[in-house]
Amino acid sequence: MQKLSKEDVMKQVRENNVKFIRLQFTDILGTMKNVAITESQLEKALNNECMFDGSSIEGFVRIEESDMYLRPDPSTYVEFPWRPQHDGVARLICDVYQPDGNAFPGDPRNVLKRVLDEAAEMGYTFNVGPECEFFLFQKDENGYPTTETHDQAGYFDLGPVDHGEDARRDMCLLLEEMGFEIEASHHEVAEGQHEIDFKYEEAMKTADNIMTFKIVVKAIAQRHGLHATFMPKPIFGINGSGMHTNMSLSKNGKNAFYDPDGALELSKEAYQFIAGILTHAKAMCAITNPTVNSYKRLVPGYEAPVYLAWSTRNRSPLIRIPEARGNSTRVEMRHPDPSCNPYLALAVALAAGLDGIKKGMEPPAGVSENIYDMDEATRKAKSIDSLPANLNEAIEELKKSSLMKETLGEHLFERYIEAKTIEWDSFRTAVHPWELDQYLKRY
Amino acid sequence: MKPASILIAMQQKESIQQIRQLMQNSGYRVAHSCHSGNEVLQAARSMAPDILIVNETLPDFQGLDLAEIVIEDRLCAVILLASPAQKSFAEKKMNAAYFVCLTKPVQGTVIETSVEMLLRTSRYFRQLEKSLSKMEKTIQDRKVIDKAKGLMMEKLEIGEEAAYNEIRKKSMDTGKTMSEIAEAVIELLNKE
Ligand SMILES: Nc1ncnc2c1ncn2[C@@H]1O[C@H](COP(=O)(O)OP(=O)(O)OP(=O)(O)O)[C@@H](O)[C@H]1O
Ligand SMILES: [Mg+2]
Repeated sequence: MQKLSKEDVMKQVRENNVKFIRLQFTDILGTMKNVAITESQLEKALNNECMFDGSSIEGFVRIEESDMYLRPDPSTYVEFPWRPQHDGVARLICDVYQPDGNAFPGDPRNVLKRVLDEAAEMGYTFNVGPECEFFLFQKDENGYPTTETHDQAGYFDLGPVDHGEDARRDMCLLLEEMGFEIEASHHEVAEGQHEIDFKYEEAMKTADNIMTFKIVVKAIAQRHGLHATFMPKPIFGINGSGMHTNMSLSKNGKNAFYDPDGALELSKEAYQFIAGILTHAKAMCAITNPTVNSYKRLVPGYEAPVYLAWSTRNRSPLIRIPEARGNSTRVEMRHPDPSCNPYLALAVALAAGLDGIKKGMEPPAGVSENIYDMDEATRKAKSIDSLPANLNEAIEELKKSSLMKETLGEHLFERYIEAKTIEWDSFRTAVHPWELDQYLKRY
Repeated sequence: MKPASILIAMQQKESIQQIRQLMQNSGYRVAHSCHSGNEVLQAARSMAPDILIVNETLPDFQGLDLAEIVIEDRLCAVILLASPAQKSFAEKKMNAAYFVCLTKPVQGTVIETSVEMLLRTSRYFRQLEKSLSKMEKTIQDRKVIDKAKGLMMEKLEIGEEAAYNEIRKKSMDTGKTMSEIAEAVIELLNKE
């Protein structure tokens, strides 16, 4: 697809009768925010003159720095196709700037941009292809989401209809209309769970795509009378939802992870990148797996990784190297889940990988057996460490990491830790149904 | 023509019963009755009804919002039972071909007449829309074929008829449409 300029955007808005434009950006916790403008305000917005009050947005700014400017990125222009009867609605993804003209340090898109610039200085482009999983659940008669995957009432005389399949087909069609290249779309192992994979792109585009993807999935589910959730582990005892992240670097248009003469046909950079990811995996976990619930997914037995290792065959370690070589040579990082802020997740992953390259790190030997079958002594002997067991441990690991602090920037780093600590504390002090089940009668 | 099938969505059992009776007496088939909006969305998608009769409020949805989705996604036509205040707002917002708003309390004969009318207009409009999109497609195809022809004439230095025949022949040989062939031609010749 060609890159749109400011003028192209103005032209399309006019020609396609678009009346409203949503200026979008993402807060540090990964929630998309919208500032809606009418078509008459577009020119002003495209000249970066659109101001908003940042203090109204959680985790964004302190009061004294509340005025922020949005700088729309014209290449992100896209019209929402699912309200055809209406005056057209389009969106533009924005960078957030301070009144003094500097990029706002609390803007996740800006964090990713900085790391991408660093990669570019080293000659690299960062390509990422995500595999996003989610659940489609029924709602109760008052419209609240349940964790039921089937209409239990069974009120349809037509026999079992898979409303989920139907909804997912619509999602794919709409995403394609919006310019996504869908590579795969299927039912997952767990009932009610779905996966839609779209083609890899340069990382900023992919992070934008992930945000868009989530909105589309939620909106279309709603139009089908269903609730879509990216919560990592909604149901105990079955697989959770991950966001496997396929990554590669390219240099001068060539895949830098591919080396036909290297061991396993992988380049030195590929091994260093893997080593960097493994080294910083614990520190990045609070970003890639940011919720209390994320750690209920990272347990043995459900296709989610627990151990810090890599493999070309096995799916139990953190990193898998898919078989494909040549241009498709890539590293699959299996721990992130779709509750993460994609800008931050890709930023910390890239920073970790680049650190591996800069320091010429070497990864431990790959594992070929299932790590879940090893006993602890064997794991120790092979020095296979594991991911943080809960959000609290992850926050502690994050706090210790100077690379993470540098990558996220002090402003965002501190605010993020603050927000996550509050989240952990509220979980830690709450009394959960599990405790009542266990103790109410017994004591 | 198969008997029209109706979907009813009201919170109150008695209201559903009333309308169901009315519809059945007039020879319509009531495919299903729903108590919530999400149930409507699922039923409308799996049962392909002709008309949805919906109350202005449901526990989980506003009737008008539901009507919008149902009409935008081309699931069926909608009769909304609403207060007089909502009626004018709703009618301004919605495409009249697929939508009727009746004010409550509504008489049996009025619903019957509305169903009958809406069935006719919505079927008629669906037909029109189909032929319109067919026409648009034809125009689009012609544009692509013309463009391919133009490119072939310029780059391959052949006449218009020869270019056209070439595209048609390829289309017949491969079983692909002429516009698909034309698109491939354009891509190929633009690359050179
Ligand atoms: N060179 C590359 N760099 C980054 N991503 C890539 C590259 N080549 C392919 N991809 C992306 O990797 C993803 C492949 O997902 P796919 O589901 O096929 O892989 P998989 O890991 O084998 O599947 P699963 O884990 O479900 O068994 C896609 O998003 C694809 O675009
Ligand atoms: Mg995978």
